[in-house]
Amino acid sequence: MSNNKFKVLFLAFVFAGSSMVSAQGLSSMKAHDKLGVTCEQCHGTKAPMAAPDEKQCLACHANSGGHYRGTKLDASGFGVPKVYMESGRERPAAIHDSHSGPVRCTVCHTAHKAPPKMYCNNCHSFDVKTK
Amino acid sequence: MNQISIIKVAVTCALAGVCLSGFAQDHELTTDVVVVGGGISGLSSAMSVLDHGGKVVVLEKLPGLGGAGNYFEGAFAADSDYKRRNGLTEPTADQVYKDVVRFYNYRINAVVLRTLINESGPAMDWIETKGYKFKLNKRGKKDRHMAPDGFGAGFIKLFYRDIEKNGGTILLETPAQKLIQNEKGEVVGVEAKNHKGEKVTVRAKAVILATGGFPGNQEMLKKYVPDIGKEGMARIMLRGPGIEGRTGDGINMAKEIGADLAGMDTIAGNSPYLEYEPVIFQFNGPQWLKESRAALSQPFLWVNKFGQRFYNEGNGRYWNDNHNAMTANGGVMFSIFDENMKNKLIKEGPLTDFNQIVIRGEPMTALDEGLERGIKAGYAFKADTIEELAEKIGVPVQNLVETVKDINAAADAGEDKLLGRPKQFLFKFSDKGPYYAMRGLRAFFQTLGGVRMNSKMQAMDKKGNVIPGLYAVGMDMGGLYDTSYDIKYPGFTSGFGMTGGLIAGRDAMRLVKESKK
Repeated sequence: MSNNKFKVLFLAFVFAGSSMVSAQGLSSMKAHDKLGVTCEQCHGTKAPMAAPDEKQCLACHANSGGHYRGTKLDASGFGVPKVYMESGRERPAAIHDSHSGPVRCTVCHTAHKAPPKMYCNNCHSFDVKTK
Repeated sequence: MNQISIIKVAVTCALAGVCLSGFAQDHELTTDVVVVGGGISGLSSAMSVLDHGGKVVVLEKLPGLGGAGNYFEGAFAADSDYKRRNGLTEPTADQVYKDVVRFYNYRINAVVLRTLINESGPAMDWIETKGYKFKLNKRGKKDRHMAPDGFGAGFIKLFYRDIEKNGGTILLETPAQKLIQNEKGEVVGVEAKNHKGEKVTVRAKAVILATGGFPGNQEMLKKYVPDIGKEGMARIMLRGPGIEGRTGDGINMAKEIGADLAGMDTIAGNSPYLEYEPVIFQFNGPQWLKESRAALSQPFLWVNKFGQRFYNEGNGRYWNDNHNAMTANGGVMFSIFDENMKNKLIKEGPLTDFNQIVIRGEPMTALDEGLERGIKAGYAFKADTIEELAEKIGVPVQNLVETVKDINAAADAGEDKLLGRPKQFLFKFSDKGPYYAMRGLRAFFQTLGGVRMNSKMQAMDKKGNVIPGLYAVGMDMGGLYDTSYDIKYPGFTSGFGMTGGLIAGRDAMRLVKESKK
């Protein structure tokens, strides 16, 4: 593991322990700024020329079978459902290991400009705040 | 991505293992079978290919899997092990076939329909071997194969995991655009595009089309479906997924290379619905909305745009019959009730089900909120007199007054001689207001026509020849329905989607094996 990657993971840990997790929220790529991830670490060049491939997200974030499947995994490596509020009712869902399959990270966790958008909520109404 | 060779052209790799490029890259994949569409029938096809020893690539246009296959309540199958274990030996495949062929007035492809009914039981048995437990529906009926964790999405998730486990490749946001044929006319792959606009070519021995029909293609609907395009019809709403990808891609690609189409004028309607969109929220949205829709189909009084009865309101749960009756009446209806009837719903719940969203006996405590919101939105109405209500909903006043008088007389007599509404649903309107009306429009959830195929799901050309290497499954199949959808046996399209997927995957692998000899 490169030093840079280690640093990112370490910071992510510290950050995860802070207030961010208490509310269920959907982060944009801006979170990377706060963690001190440089442009180059994702884009490969100091001045970004193009969007990185999704493999670049997964190089740091994948935690099960080449995918990121959520913070909590079961013994088989599948995402454990968390309880969300949906239309006034509780509904368990494994957002990162759902029936939608391997949805590209940046569909929801948008890059720098567009606001984050929750793909699930095209059909569902999960009460999730975007940051 | 093991098993699949990916050749990248014009690649610039800036960091080790990370490909960054300002240019478009072309990708080429080679596999045994490529499946176009990642809904219930496409994923079933892919599982079948894998189970028959092949390699498979699934191309899905949308960012996520499932399409309309995320929504079905349960799948039909005759003579499955699950049904036998639950003591359901009837109706047999034979009984079902005899029944539906009459329903469709014999205007269908009898051999293929019969094959799908015959094979539906074994197909469900096959799915059970995946470790899947079917469950009873909300009312404890065992007539369908229901997903244990909610609607079709439960199947989709299981199938996705199975495909992943067995080494299949799934490419999301990669719409297929064109079929590739060799010099012999055999279909040997597809050209697609990924979300970056890069060309993705998948070379294979067979292509299975599973793109879900054309409910999201307005031009095709107008061209092929008279029930939608006919003059004087109220608008029809599409009760599709929140994000709609079913725009006829498979049918059009097949047509382009000479495939014959069948049954293109038939859609599956599910009516009535409130004019609230997305319509699917009346199915899975807030309680006030689901209860409003349940109220719309209750057995009080339904009138057409002339203020006259047109349908036995006791059958409100038969959404397909409702749909056809509404089609014969200009595509619109009004459900009328008074304060007592409304309060009955609030206290005791719906008298009849509609898709089991709000079930009988479940108090409709959010109905007042629903009516208030509906009045604001313009699809619900409240008036102190029947005359005023008629004016508000725009039907001839005298007609509605007479209709109410007639239904009151029928309630007094305890018999509806006109349309046969059962006695327990004959309610007399109060002399005093307020009175309510809710306007219902038609909705449909899928198209039922598509590519003409044989009983191996192979696409046929106009002369009756097989188009080698091309298969159509799910809602890209054509010729199995006429006029509408028979809900006496619910779950046909999802059941046939999975059954067809099993058959197509198996036959495509026969082709692959033959070509390797």
